Amino acid sequence: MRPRWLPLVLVAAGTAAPFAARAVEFNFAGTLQLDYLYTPFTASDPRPSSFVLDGFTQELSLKVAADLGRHTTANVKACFGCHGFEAGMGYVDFHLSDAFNVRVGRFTPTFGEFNLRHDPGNHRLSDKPLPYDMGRMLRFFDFGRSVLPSPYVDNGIEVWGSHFFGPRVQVSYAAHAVTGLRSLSPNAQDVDFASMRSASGLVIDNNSEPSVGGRLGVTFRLANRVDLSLGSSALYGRYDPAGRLQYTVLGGDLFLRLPTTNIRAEYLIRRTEMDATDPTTLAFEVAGVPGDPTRTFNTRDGWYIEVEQRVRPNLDVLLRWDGMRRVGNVGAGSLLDFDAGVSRWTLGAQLTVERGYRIKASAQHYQWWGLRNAPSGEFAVHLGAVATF
Amino acid sequence: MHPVRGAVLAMTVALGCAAAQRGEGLDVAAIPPAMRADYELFADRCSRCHSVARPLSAHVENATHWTNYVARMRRQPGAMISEAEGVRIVSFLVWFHDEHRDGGAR
Repeated sequence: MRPRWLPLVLVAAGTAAPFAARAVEFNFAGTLQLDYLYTPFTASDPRPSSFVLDGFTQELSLKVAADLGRHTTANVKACFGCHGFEAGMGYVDFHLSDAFNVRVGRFTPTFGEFNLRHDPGNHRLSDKPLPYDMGRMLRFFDFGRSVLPSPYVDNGIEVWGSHFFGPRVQVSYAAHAVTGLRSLSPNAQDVDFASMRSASGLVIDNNSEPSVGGRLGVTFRLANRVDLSLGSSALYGRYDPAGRLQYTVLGGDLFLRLPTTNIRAEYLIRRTEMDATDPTTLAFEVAGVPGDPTRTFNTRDGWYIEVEQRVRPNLDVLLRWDGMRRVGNVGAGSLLDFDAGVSRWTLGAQLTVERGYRIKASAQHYQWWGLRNAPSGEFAVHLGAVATF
Repeated sequence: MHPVRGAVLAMTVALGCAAAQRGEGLDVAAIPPAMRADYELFADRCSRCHSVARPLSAHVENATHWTNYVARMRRQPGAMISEAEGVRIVSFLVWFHDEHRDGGAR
């Protein structure tokens, strides 16, 4: 007769075996950013001029990376922000060579340059560039979501790698198949990014059609401490439950790195099909896509150019011009014209108080067009603190 | 607080902090000459994607772990860190964390 404790011993031994077979090395890292946004109401607003839009937003991320050996790494990241607690990542990487790696799980599919440094500890202004904004821009609810709100997190598989061609040129690539952008509405007129962050979005593809995409990039070492990176990215998929409405996102990025100056620029454009089965739900006359009058589309593009200048060892000054434009039909009752957009200038600074502790400050000026209740210009100020640990 | 007073206070604090000139990196003068080139390589390559405070504050205890850690970073798109440079970066990080554990140069 087998002793009763034998199954428990076997389970314990099985659980511990991988750890005993090789040393599992854990690394814990985190970021906390608290940002205060102040916006005085303009004279054209009917509310008293003493009113301001202000408030604190907090972003917290905690990440554990476990190196299970030379060829396997597991990463788990939990985030707390405007949407509450979320799984920012949970994936395993298999490294076969520098040129070929496989990632499976929940992660940020490779797209563009900014996503790599979307963590507030890794970029020097309080907020993200407009094409990647996730709710910080003024008049967010009137204008709608950005081109690809960052972090874009999804479930799936990605292969990626890089290769040096001589000491001065490195080519990198990434290709993925993931659940994809989604909307839960059968008569969707845009991607619903909020639904992608609901619990069901973590495990169920709303239309069983994967989204595919990737990035191809090249980096040139032009001189000692001078690099130039160029990249192009794409995403394609269907986002409504019936798998009828398509989206395509394209992007191009540039990063010039000089000894004390960083210059970055990106351009993104998303073409999103809209349901036009009932034309009364749309504000403008419907021009359907070729061959199907029940579908129409809009395009939303965005850009930023950012110059980051180190002034002192602990002080960086930044100047950024970013913007976003939406062209196409809108839902009935929307405040947007057929062609609407925003242009924004940001002047900011980042000050290192102590290693791992920084203060971010910036002033912004918005200019709108095609947004019916908006003044032509608005000011905003950010003051935040960020800690990395 | 009145916005103007708040702005003046914030600027005063900022200027005071700026005067300290304490950055995220190390004081090069406090690094042994044999290690300076490796430190500068580390500071240049790693700051491309993140602050150097990350690895300098990381809780990594041994050379094997640093090797895996740096290998993971080398694979990031456009990291532009060759295998040979990765070895030098690991060499610096192992030295720094050994020194720091003993309360040495910061």
